[in-house]
Amino acid sequence: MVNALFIILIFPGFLFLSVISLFAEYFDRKLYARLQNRVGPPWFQPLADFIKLLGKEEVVPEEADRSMFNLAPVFAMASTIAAFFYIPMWGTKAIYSFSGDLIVILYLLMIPTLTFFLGGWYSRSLYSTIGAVRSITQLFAYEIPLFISLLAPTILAGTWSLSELANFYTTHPWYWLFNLIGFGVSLVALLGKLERVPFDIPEAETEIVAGSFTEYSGRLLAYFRMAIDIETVVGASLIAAVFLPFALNLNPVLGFLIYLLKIFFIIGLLSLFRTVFARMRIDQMINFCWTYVAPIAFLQVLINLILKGIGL
Amino acid sequence: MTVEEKVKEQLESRFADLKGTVKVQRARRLWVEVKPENFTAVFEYAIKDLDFPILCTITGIDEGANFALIYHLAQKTGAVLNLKIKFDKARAIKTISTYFPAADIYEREVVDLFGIKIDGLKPGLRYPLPDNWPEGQYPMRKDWKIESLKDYDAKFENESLSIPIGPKTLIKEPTDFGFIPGSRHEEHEVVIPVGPQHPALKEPESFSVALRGERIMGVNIRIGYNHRGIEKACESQSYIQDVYLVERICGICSHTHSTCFVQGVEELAGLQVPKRGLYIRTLIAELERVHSHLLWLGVAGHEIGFDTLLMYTWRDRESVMDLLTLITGNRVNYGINTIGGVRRDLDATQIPEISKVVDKLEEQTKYYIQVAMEEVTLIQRLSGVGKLSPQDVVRLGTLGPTARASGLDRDTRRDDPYAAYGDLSFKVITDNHNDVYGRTIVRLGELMESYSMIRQLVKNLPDGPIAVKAPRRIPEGEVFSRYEAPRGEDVHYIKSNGSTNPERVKVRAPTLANIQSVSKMLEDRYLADLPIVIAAIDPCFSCTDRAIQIQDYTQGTERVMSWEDLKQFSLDWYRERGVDFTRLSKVKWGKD
Amino acid sequence: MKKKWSIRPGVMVELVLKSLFKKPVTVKYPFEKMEMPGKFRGKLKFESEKCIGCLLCMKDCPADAIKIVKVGEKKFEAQIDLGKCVYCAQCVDSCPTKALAITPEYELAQIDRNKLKIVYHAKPDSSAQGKT
Repeated sequence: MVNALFIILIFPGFLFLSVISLFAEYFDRKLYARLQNRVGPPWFQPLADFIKLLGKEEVVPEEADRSMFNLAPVFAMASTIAAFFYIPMWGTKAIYSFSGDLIVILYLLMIPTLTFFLGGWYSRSLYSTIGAVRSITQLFAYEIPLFISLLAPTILAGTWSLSELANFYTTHPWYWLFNLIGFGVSLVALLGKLERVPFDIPEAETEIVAGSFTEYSGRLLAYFRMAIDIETVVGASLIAAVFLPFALNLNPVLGFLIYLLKIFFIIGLLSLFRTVFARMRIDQMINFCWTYVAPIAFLQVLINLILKGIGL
Repeated sequence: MTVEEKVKEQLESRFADLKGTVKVQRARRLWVEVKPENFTAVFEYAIKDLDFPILCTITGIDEGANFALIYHLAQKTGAVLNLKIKFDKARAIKTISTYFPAADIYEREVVDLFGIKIDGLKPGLRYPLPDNWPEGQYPMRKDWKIESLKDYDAKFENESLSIPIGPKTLIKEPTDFGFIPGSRHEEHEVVIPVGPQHPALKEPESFSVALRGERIMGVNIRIGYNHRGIEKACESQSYIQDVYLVERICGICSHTHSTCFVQGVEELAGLQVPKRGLYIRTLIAELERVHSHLLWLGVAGHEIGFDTLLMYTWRDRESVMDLLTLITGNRVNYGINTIGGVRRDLDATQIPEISKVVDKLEEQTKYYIQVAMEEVTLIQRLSGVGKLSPQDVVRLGTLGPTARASGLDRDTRRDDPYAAYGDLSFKVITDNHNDVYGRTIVRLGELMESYSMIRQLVKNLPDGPIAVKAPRRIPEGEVFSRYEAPRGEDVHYIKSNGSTNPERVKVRAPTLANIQSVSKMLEDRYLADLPIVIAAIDPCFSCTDRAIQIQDYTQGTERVMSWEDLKQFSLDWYRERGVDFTRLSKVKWGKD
Repeated sequence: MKKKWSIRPGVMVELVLKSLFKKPVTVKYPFEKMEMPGKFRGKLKFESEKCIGCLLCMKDCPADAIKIVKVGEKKFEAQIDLGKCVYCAQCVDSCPTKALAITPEYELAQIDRNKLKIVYHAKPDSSAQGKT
């Protein structure tokens, strides 16, 4: 019992994830700034933002549905933290693992998008409604490529448990090189899930003020922002675990450092994408995902099927 | 025989009672006064047979015993015909929006600010006064004083005193979107307000957008939020004070307004500005164009979510601002013009600095052109958006790069040269894309042309004095001055009565002419395109609203509020509604 | 006309990556301050011994920011409201004796509005005092 509480609250649960995700936000913003020839915020900025938001007044709109409005951010945070327990960080065993936990992780990661939708919808404000609807519309575009590309490596491994997948790739070194196309596709799809440029349409500041988050303030906004940060780290860890499963079985300290390097490499790539692209329009985004991204994900599946067939 | 003389001859031969009254003030300026009864005939003759297809603006004047309206018509090649009619204050005038749809907003301005009655205007929202402006108050009339508003209680009718939630209770919900009755556009589902306060807008304006899903069915535009009463203020200050007041109409195009005004006054006083002064004026004008277009590039990038372009273009813009500080003494509001020339001279150390900055900027602009041509997300967001066909452009009276992107080949610097533009060789950039992408290409091309012009100016800078002494009393007369601002054509009309203060100053900024094309551009587009379409006309509402006379629809009164009154007015308004700001800050703000 | 293949996403990637290795262009105010060139129009300066009391500066000021007050025989003091001043330097140009000058000082913000009204006193005998 105490062990479980420790895992949920301290490591690798809430406290550890919060620290890493705040640092990841700092890293993202600092890199973004330096790429634009600016200085960027100091290291404590995300923490300062979080604490400041906790201290602000919460204003709930008069017409909003109070219970949904208040619960949506909490669910967003809870589901992303829960997804983290099934991802192996170093070593090939996650904290909890069972057969099919990859699907559970993907399902848990879909819940934040639903909470953005519900939070925006139940805010009963014009801008929030538009943002919420855009969130769900975007879901149709990136979710399939994300699923397909994350499941492609499992064809070679023959299992849907993330820990066993890591095990398979550790025992068969260099096999992860076959999945590089899937790596690219999953990065693009992750951009959509995290609502970052070029797919930050639901939260387009210049068009709809703040999308689903327009009416949120105070604690609830802090939870939403923290949920997005945690989702970034969890998404990056998931991609690192599925597509970059090398150097896993070293001693814990070195393994931990390599894990950090991997996720910050992925977050760095995401920041680079944020810098060099403009935002797409929702119809262009759906077109793009279904015309290019989804077929390439299917291509990766095809490659893996063929490789499995030849008897690897 | 020159163009102007020919026009004069044709007018006088066609209309017998105009014989001897057509004045040719100088090259490209004609003035004629017509009786109101003959106005329609002369007007039609001018726009159809004499080929004056452009309406610059309509000026209203209160001459004490009667009103006067001046219609400023221009030819493609730059000549301007100013048609003036004088009429009794109670008489109604027919609208000319059947000939020029663009005249709608100029007539509304005159109706609101003077109380002139114009028949045939479509019922619609007023410009520029707010909805709760009192009846019967016309600010631009000579006998109107600010004290008439002292006891005015600015509440909407049937308004409760609880703090309103959401935008609907503060403005009257617009009902007129210009829908064709029965069209599918009428089935809009929701009206979303964009403005007056919105992250997409740099200045307050209100766009009420009728949406169906993501598609825009119609847009209702309301401007006038930035009205500061500058036209009225100009009448109570001397000419030299007005130079600085007019300069502060806008921050980005401050030199535009200052030069346009000063040119007009110099023409009235018959002053000949020395060549060196004209060259320096033109140099600052082109530098201002550079910084304005770089600013626009950044803003366009920000509106489509491409913040990196914003950061880089504004970084480059800083070098222009530093250069301007070196030459003129300030980053914006340069204050380099004075009546009779310029105030500061370029010395020998500044010239190599100018060349260095221009070389660096040219290299950077070439890079931005490459980005604009190759970056696929940028092209996707800007292409096909904000389409304006060449016919629409002419009909709606659009100006500047917005119009040049639809192929309209019109540029005041070439058609009606002023300052030192007669000595420079440059190309007028036009494009055929008809959309926001075309406007980007046009502005980038204009940047390259500006660099070449700056180099020519610096190379050929003549020696000599920079200004002539100007009298304090400007002789009687009227003048019409035009200037190509970065956003389009800016016109000033100045009337002087021989004293130290002007009698009437009228400013028509380019955005007022361009704003009417926004609703056409947004038809059947997505909400996501709204910010970039608005940004594409490069709106400068500070320029547009500068003397918006609050035109009370019903009253046509104009009101000019001083800053203290406005502040007190807003404090009282909010205090009544339960929000007391005086408790919030311990700062002493003045006399309350 | 650009070749079709050169239209690609991420055109700015090279410039952006190169910026990682350059110093940022931000001026870290207030720890680093920008030097304004000498002719920058900042705060006004008044030398009362040159003033002849013609009041041309008052006449030409667009913002009514300067007031010349006679305090004695051929002695004038200037009361300048820095809050109203628009820093156009027209008074400097209008003054026939060059009693007014413009300095490049630009850090003039105050919290109390009354502190913005400064007075340049007439020199009693030798040294001029400007009080803020």
